[in-house]
Amino acid sequence: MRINGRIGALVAALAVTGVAAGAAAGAHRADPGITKTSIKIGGTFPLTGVASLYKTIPAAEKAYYDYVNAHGGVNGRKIDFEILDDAYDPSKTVPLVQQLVEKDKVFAVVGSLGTAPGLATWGYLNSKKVPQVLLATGDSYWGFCVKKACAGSPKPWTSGWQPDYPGEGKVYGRYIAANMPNAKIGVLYQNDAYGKNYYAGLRVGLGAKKENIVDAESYDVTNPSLTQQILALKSKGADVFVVFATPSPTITALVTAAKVGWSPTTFINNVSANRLFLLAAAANGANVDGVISTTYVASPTTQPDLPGMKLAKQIIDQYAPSLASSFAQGDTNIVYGLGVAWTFVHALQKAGRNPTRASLMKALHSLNTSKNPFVYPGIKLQTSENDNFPIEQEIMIRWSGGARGDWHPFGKLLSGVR
Amino acid sequence: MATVETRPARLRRDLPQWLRALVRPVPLGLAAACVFLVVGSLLSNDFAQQTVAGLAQGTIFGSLALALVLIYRATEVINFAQGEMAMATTYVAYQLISWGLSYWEAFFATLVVAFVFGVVVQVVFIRPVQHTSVIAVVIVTVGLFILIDGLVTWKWGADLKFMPAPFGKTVYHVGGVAFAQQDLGTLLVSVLSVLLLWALFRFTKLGLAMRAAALRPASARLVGVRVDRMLAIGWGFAAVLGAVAGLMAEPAQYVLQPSLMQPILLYAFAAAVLGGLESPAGAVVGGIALGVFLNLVGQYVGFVTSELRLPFAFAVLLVVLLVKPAGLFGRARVRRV
Repeated sequence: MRINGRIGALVAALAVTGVAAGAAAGAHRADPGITKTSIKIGGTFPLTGVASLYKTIPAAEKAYYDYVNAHGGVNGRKIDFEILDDAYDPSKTVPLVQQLVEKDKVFAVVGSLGTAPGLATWGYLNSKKVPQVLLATGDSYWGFCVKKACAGSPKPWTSGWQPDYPGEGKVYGRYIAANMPNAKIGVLYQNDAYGKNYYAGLRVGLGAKKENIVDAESYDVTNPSLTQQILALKSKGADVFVVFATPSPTITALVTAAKVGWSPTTFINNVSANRLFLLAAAANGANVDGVISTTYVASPTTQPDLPGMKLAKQIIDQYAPSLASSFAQGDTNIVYGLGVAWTFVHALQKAGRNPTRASLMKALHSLNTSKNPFVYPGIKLQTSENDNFPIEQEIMIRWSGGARGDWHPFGKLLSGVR
Repeated sequence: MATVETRPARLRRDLPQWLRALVRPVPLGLAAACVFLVVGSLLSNDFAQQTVAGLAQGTIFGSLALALVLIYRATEVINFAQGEMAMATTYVAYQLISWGLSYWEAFFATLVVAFVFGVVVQVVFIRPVQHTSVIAVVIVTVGLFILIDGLVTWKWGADLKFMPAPFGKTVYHVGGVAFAQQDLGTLLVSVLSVLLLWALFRFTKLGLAMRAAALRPASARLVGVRVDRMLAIGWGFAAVLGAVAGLMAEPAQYVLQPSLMQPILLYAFAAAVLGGLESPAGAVVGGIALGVFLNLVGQYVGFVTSELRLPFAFAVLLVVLLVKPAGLFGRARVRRV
């Protein structure tokens, strides 16, 4: 009996260990948030607050996932996308991301918006080995830190999507140096990392022509108007006006320039080049014809016949009808959201029949496709172990048609934008 | 009692009555500043341009500063919610316009709404705590700031909204200087509303009662002034002025968002303190001075970049207050101990 009892205890112990080992093996095979039929992801976005005009981005992403789910999901798994509102405030992002990881058990954090919110959470997510992918910000940290130690350690679980800001700044610099070698350049930039990175890129792109910068004025949130800065630029004789700002100051700058009787050749950054903003500026008297910017997504208004834009219209009409009117007016943020969601689905398909967090990252670090229907035709999404910038191509665009006008692409597709 | 007569005082005594009022440091300084601005504007187009833009901006600071002063006189606190109240009433105008009213119909309707809003705020939130302590009232106004901001974001959202331009987009060119119709309009509306309010306080019985209720509540009550009602009406007029400031600030930024008045409130505080917190004229002059000063400093003082403009303005403010602690127009308070 005693022996039997011992054997029984031993068997029981073995059984327990076996179960535990089995469970561990199971956990190893399937990361949190993924089952046979579903995959849970989430992201933080500014649905309210200063940056809330970007709220169409997550709405478009959700519409794309709903479309994919209605067509059978990815390898039979339906994507469940949780959108949380951090109001663009990093102190709110941190607890929300912890909630996503620890309470909601997401497989990955996808598409979260904003540089500061991204930086506030990348340490945490990388230490937990949770993918923080396709961040909606153009800072260069996400691309450079896969192997390089940033803020103390490499960040292999983080990835961006769009071209980076300094690269875009270089595009304008090179264009001005080549086409307007005698220009007198006046710059208005937001007084933070965002504006300064753009400005630094512009100076690199200008090369020796950076001596043509006659004045650079900055502004910050304590400025109740931009009239003083714009008058200063005008008085220095600038005939090229480069604006590195978020949308509402960009609108203010365009209208103010017209108001003080200044009509330079104006460049604005991609972030503020949504057609809706230019229409608003024009309605208030801004002289928008000839304004130059760049894009990397297709336009619903100038390229409505592209297969990607037809698909976009179909998806928006069916799964996010509340976005239909701003899509029809050329809200490129919606196209941006669709493009990001397409990239996530593409990476998930590449990550194998039973994706893990590691295989997702591997897929994102080896992108090589020109099939994304929502980016500008010809743009390729490409990454490698050493290059984590998915999009490095842009096309320049110029506005014509005044208050009812639109952006029109010109020149050839530019490569190596970073 | 022997008084020591200083030399300037003796000089002043010998002047005729009408001149005597002017020969004081503050009016003299302001007159000199005006001459400086006019001469500068005649000599340089850039100077003229910055001055005009500064005047337009300054009258917006001045309107809101005046609203702060009116409430300070009535309630003895700074109303931290003044800017947000102005922002909320601007959203009311936005709503009225989107319902089909023309800009100016919406403008005047909004002023009425603002008046009622100000009265209600005083009656519901301020009156119950008014006699407890100053700190309590201050905390209530800070609470109102957060509450109003939250309610507006909840109702209208925080994305950019656009209102029609009230003054047209014409730009007049006079000798190389561009005058935007909009800047001139802002100037006109702000100055006009301040003048109307001044006339109301100065020449009407209601104005007299309101001044009495604010400055000598006990005596006013004894002669039959309904002090509580007058204080509420004072809040109403302050809200009307704030609404004018908000409605004029929106076309200066071309977009409407909940943060509309936050930077402006900061400058309005400074303008009110500069002018002397108890002086309505001081608030307006302070606002205009600040607007013009900031623009000219940005243009001509090289080291004062965007980061330094606000600190620099406050450093100057500090110097002024060291010399004249009660502000330019304030009277030093004398207390018998």
